[in-house]
Amino acid sequence: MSKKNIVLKSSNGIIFEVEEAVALQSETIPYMIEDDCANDTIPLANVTGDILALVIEYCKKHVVVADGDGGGSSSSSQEDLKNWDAQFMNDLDQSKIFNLLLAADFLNIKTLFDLTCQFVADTMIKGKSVEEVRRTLNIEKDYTSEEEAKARQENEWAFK
Amino acid sequence: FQRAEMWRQLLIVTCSTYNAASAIWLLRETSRHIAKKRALRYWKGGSSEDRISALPDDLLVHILTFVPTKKVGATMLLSKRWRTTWTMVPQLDYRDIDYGAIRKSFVGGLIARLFGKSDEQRYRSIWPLLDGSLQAHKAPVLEKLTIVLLGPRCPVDADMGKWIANAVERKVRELVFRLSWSAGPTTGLPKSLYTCDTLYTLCLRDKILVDVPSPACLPSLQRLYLYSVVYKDEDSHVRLLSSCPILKALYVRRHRQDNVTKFNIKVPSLECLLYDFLEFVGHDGSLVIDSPALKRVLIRDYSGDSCLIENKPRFDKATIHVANSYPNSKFIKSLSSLMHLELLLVTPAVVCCNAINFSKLIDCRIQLQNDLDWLEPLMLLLHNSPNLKLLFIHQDQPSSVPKCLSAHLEIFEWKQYGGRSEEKQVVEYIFANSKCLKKAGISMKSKLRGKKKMMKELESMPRVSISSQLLFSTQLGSLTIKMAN
Repeated sequence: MSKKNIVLKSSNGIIFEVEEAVALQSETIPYMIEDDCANDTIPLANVTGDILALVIEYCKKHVVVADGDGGGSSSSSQEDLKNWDAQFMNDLDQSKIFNLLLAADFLNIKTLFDLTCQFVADTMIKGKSVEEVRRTLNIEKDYTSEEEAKARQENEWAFK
Repeated sequence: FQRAEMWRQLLIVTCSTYNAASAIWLLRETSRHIAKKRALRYWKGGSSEDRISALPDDLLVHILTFVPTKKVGATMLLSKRWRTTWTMVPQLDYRDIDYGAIRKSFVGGLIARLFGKSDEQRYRSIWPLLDGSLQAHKAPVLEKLTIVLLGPRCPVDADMGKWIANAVERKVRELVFRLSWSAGPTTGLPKSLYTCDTLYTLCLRDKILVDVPSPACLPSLQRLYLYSVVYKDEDSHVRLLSSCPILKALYVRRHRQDNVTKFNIKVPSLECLLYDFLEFVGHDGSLVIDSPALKRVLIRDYSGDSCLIENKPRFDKATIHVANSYPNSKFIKSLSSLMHLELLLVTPAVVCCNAINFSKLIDCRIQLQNDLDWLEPLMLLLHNSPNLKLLFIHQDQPSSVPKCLSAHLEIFEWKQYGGRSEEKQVVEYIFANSKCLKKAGISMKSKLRGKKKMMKELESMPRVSISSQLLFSTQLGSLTIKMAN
């Protein structure tokens, strides 16, 4: 039995053909298939080609494979997947991470969305001082020194 | 360079009492490592654009759910964009830190030494953070609130009820509340908690007084944990359980002073029950389970209470450790549908093995008791379980070990030891089973050959009482038999 393929088109016109099971990890795509049944290609206006390639790489790794014996099994063990996820995220620069986060939100891929959010929290916010977070994330301080001192004073509990 | 500076200071403090040269080396290596990491991060960062502040609020809030509650408030200082974002995070988690537990680790030990924490400072109360941040917090829906307060006593100004009521107003779905003050009072909860219509999971633990008003109604509650709480009166738990129409899982841990003698579990929707009563009480208490939909039960009851089962539930999976009394015949019948059984094989449990046909049983785990002749009941059980695929037998120690060896024997002496194999076996047996052994003295027959080899052999025999001393004939003069009163 041949597997059904789905064709996705990125915002900059790059075409990706993927197995249905890979694409259906996105909860948004099924609606697009229904809405757009006459056309085979699903246009993703919010996702560029380089990011869509990453999303597909992630989904291929995480697809649950129905094996020949009829039972379903994941292609890798949980431990392997966790290590793979960590490596996958570590290889990305900050700009790609945020684009991927937005794509995961738009395509509604819950595990990828949580993975990117957790990664941002763990590597850019947790265990860092306010100043370090600003520097890491290029956040411009728009408080005056007086405003900052006042906020600190009013919310003493947050800085103990 | 704040971090590098901090590291440098920490290292100086750490190393000052050690080797100064190695401290300098460590310092240089650490600085290099940090500089390299920073360079990499900047390079990876690519542009200097502030991407995160441009995210929609809901995404920013989702990212903040992965940041610990004690840090999340501080993000208000990042920029004006962030000032109120943290107040929308729907999960808050406040836990006192027990430095006693941390100190057991190497790093914890180091910190404790550096800062000289005394036992009074063992706990760092989360209360100021909890009180301050909940006052500022604004999320209309609080999905999950966790409060764990340890330490010696309640902070002076603590008003727990206020925050629980506040969480109820904000449609809390999951509430975990543990009060474990060693000297604190038992605390009641606001009445509104018992009519919260959004609550899905409720966990109450330790010094909490369960005082359920009438009427009470928890229409969404599916999981309820009542761990070592105190009940206002005999009927409080009954009122609570009867106000949960869709409760699926109930976890109860009881203690002697919980004000209940007759614990009734009448919940038609209940599918899973864990019931722990690990103290021996010996009064005329009882456990009555009237929950016909129950599929999985785990009962560990050493209290001596009677155990009754009403309405013939058909269990799939059961773990039954009831030591001092035994479930009634209805209970035993409800076991006949089991597929998985874990049983503490005490004398009354033998009835189960004898009377029930376990036609569906495929997985059976038996824990043996020392004072029971278990072979016959076990054979009966196997006989009555035609479809068994897995049998697992757990035995703490050989059943035939005399009680004196496992509980009392402290001194063992052998004169004229000859080293024959049966003599060796006896010594081996005593060494392996005498848990309280303090001293063992062995004097060899005077004309024996190969004494040294024999002594080595005896020394190498495993002794269950690790602290016990083994003395040989030459040293025996010092072994005076003196029993403790």
